[in-house]
Amino acid sequence: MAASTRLRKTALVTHIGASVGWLGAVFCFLVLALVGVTSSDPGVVRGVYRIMEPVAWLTLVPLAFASLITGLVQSWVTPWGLLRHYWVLFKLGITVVCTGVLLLYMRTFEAMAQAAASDAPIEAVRNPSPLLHAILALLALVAAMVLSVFKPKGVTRRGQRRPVGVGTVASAP
Amino acid sequence: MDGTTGSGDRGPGMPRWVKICGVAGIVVVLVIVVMLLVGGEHSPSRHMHGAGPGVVGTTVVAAGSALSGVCL
Repeated sequence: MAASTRLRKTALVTHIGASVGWLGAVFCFLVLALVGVTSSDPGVVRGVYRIMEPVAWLTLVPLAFASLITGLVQSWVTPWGLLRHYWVLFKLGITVVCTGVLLLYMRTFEAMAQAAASDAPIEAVRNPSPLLHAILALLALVAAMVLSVFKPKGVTRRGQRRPVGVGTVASAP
Repeated sequence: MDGTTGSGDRGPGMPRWVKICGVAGIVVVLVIVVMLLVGGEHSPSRHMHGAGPGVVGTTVVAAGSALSGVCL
């Protein structure tokens, strides 16, 4: 039982770290995007849109997958399960959708970086799209965080059929 | 996920918050799917507004439609 408790706490810390790290990275992108839209310095504007792509590959994408994978691990090592409670299902949906949109958006980051590196006029480089996406992503990830903390009631049909703890590491003797 | 489960969440039927959030979530996913199907893909051209030929596309993202969630 001690081993499973240690495993659960380790998994929980990893999941919180990855998820909150992702939230913080998105917040940094929100600030970057805001600077890109509002700065009057052409060098800063071009720099913002050039730096977004590599930083996204090195922070947003790994943290998104880390959050998703550690969340799946959490569902396995705790009695909550993956398909038993609606709040867990919603968190999974939010994470999957956000990760998918992020991967699709990486091409946009690439195009914006190319535009910033070209001799295109600064007003063509400036783009409100990252600001919009960062706001939406922030709202989605905050919603996931709220679900994690409040854990609103609601058990799925699968959760009603299967007793809590069946098939989880935490329930092992 | 602290490993504890409340015993009072086993009420019959689906909670109201699930219905409301579920409908909202389905709408968001449908919007994304429609955007992907109509636009072919979530391509950069959807977000760029003319950085010159050969660099990116020239589609203008209207702020109104974007804020309404169409540009997810």
